[in-house]
Parts: sequence; C-alpha cells; structure tokens
Amino acid sequence: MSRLGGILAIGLLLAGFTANTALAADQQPFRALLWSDGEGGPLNHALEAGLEDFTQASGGRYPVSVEWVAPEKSEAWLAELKAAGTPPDVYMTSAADLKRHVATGEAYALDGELAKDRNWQERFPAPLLSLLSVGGKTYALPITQTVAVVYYNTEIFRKNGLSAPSTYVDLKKVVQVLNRNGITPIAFGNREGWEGALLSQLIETRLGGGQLFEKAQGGTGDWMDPSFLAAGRVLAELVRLKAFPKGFDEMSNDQAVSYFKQGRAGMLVSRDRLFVSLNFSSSAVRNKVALAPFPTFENGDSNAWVGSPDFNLVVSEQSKAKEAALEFLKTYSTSELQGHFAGHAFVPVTGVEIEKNQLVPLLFSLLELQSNMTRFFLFYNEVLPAGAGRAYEETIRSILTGVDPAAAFQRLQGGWMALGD
Amino acid sequence: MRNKLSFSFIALLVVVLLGGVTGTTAAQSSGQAATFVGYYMDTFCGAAGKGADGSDVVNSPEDHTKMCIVACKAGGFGLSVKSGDAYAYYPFDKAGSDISIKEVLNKSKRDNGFLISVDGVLKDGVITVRSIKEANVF
Repeated sequence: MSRLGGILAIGLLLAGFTANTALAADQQPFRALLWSDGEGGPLNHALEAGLEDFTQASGGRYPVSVEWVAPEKSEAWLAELKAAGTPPDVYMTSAADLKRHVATGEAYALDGELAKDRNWQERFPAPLLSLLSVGGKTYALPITQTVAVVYYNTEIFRKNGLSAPSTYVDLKKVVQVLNRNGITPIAFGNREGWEGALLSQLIETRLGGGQLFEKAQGGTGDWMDPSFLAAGRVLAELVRLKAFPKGFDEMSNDQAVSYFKQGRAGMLVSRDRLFVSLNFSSSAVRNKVALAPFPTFENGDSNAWVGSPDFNLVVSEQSKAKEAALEFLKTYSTSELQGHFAGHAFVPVTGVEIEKNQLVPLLFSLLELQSNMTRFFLFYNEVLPAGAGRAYEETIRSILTGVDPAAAFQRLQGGWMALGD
Repeated sequence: MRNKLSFSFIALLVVVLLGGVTGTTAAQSSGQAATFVGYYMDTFCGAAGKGADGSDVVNSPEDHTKMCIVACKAGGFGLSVKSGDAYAYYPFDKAGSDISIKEVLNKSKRDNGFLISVDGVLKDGVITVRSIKEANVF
C-alpha cells in the first residue's frame, strides 16, 4: 500500500460506505475505483450522490467500498491492484485506455446485460456507445460526454443581419461580413497546438466521415487522404480570409475564450464546458450566446459530432459481484443522476428526460441538437498515440502559418512511414 | 408599469446592498425577527464558497444556476447575503428549506440569480424561516 501512497486516495469517504464491519464474515464489500477531482469537487459530489442512490436502491444489499483516484493516476493504480490480484469490481477508464483492458481480458462485455434491459440500453445514444465497443462488444458505459461545438454571439449576428452558418459557404460569408464591419469572426488561438488540430478534425469529420484517424493509425488509410488535404486547404483559406484574431498562433485557448466573452468575436469553437460561464454576470456576452454544430460541407456528414465519452464505467471480468456492479452502472444512467451531473455543468449522455427548466439554455440546446446525432467520433488525441498526436498538431500548425497543406501532410506521411519502418 | 417595476427593483437593490448587511448583523446578535434579502443558494455550494457549476458564489452568487441548486438539494438551502465586498452564506432550517422549494424552486422561471426576500430569525448562523418570496421583479 505504501507504493500507492503518492496516489490521491481519499478512500471510503462516506460514512455510509465504511460500514463494512457490519458484513457477514464471508461477505466481501463491492469495490469501486472512481475518479476524483478532490473532496467537494463537482465530480466527487455527483459521484457521491450516485453512491447514496445506489445504496438506497439496493437496500444495503451491496455495501460499497470506494477508492478515489485522480484520473491521470488511475491506470497506474489499477495496474497495481490487478497485479496484486485485487482488481476492483467496477472502475473508470478513458475510451482510449479501454482497448487495452479488453485486450488483456480484464473488462466484462456488457451486451448481454444491456440486451436484457432494453430500457437501460436505450438511454445511451448508439453513436456514443460505439466508442466504447471493441470487436463489436460494449465494454463500458459513459456517465457524461465532452463535445466540440460552435458558440456564436447572437447580438453580433443580429446586428450584422447574419444567422448561424450551417454550411462552409455560409461560414465564409459570415467571416467576410464580420471582417467588413470590424469584428473578429472566430475567437481562436493555437498556442498549444491542440486547438488547431481540433478545428482541423471538425472539418475533416465533416468532409471525410470521421474515421480518418483510425484508418491512418491502423494502416488502412494514410495522411494523404483527400479529406485531410481538403481540411488543410479550408484552414489555409480561413487564415487568408482573416477568420481568426491577429496573432492567433500565440493566443492560448483561455485567451480565446476570454476574447469571445468580451464580445470581441462572432464565434468560438470549443470543447470546454462553457454552458454556464458564458452567462456569468462578468461576461459581456451574457444571454447573447447560442450554439450550433460545426458547419457542414457539400456532400459532407452534417450529423457527425466530435468528442469523447467521459467517466466510463467498466465491470471487471474477474468480479465476483457482477450483479451489484451492473446495478451500480445503472444508477449512473438514471434521470436523477444525469440531472445531477448536468447541474454541475457536465454534459449528460443518456436518453433520459431532464426537465428543460432544470437545465441552462445552452446545455438544453446542445442536448436537443444531439437528439439527431448519427455518428460520434473520438477526439484525435484519444485515437492517436501521443507522439503521432503531436506530429499531427505540428502539421496543422504549419498549415495555419502558411505551409502548403499537401506539403505539410506529405511530411507527416513520410515521418509516419519512417516510424513504421 | 415598467417604471413601477424598475422602481421596485431599485428599492430591492437598496435593500440588498444596505439593509441586507445591517439586518443580518442586528438579527445575528439579537435573534430577533428580520427580513433578509439575498440570493437563493444550496448549502453544498454556499458552505464550500464555490459553486459546483463553476460559479463564484462568494462574489457573484447571482451566477449560480438553478440546475446546480436542484442537483445539490440533498444538503438543503439558504441565503447568500451581501457582507462587505462579498457575500456570506446562511443556511435555512429544515422547514425553511422545504418552504423555499415550494416558493422559489417550484415557482420561479429563472435559470439563475434568484433574488429572494426571507422573513425569519437568524440565530447561531441559521435562518429559521417564516416566509420566503422571490424578489426578482423582472
């Protein structure tokens, strides 16, 4: 245990879950390894609400022992627990790490259980669930999601006679009109590199259907795919059209968000949970923001979203308490619990109904837009290995600073092939 | 009509900025009945001094959202009252929390910024509620 000392382990926080002494001698507590954002944090609070609901609903049949771990340390701790022969019954993982758990036979396939309870299964949008499937089987269920959207300033749009752009042609017109009237079209900064890569992925997803990264990573496609190149040309065109603030290459994401909040730009492309903060009293765009999906392209896919399922719950294959584990997973998909997460500005994932007047308007608007979602693609950095992700970011950065898209992707492809050799 | 509403709102602001503070102080020391005006808040976020929805409940309790207040209902509710440059949180008694659900949460159409007026007694940091009404007038 001392080797785990450096790992955030609040452990057994709630008195109700420490009552293991009341167990019969042969009864083991149900063990869950959950991510923590610290005592009193919004994630902890929502998860604790779920623990209370689970305990109440099960009538105390499944005493719970919870270990809390910081997300970035979760995989290491989990590996230690597994190596010690004491894996938890339920744990959290990312969509990217899930594949490794499945490959080692540590994750329990949930399809049979979901099929037994269609009401439960239908709470999860199929496109999102597909990101937690390996070899056609579902191995995890998400509690929330992160998704990239376009925010736009309704006051600026109204004053300039514009409506939210639904196509790239519309977007270019918006850019031209706003520039003509001295307004920055899109608040955007690319100091870290991931911001441009995300913008590029949104365009590529619209153009090429979104599986480009999986194909490039898996060897069934490459970086010279026409959709990558077309997206590169779109980015270059947006720079030419002055869609972004001056000095965007040195502007951070936070600065870009602040720029938008100051009312200085017409749009903001973001994956951040800004549903609440955009309407803070300190925000110049309070009650002047709406959101929309990223504009689509001719022959492109307009219903594809880019993001990530979050706080994904996995049942250990080795668990001897699968009945309890499944009940535990169900708890987090109830309307009440999803509402609790929404209350803390997380984006719910399930198809359960949450009363409109209990959600801030922007979040409700997003959930309405997603009701038509047909496909959902993982953020590029969850598909690609870290090194490849950074190489992709640098490729996009070079395009945004003037390198020809074909040359930039040719260089990425060359580096990729060399890596493969 | 609009002028009347505006006047009412200004009057309430005066109460918030001035009366809320002094009223609280006086009532706290004496335990006498008083009227408190401030922002409706859940105890989880109010006591923590930070909103689980990301809002700054100490300096800008008007930003705290209904969806967060509802999510945190298990811990009860209370009032954030202007105190100097910031806001101090005072929980309601259990009956007061129940009244607030009926009179504020269930009645109000607002997403945030629940300015409310509370008649009650503040003693030992807890407001024993007699009545609550929403003070937002537009």
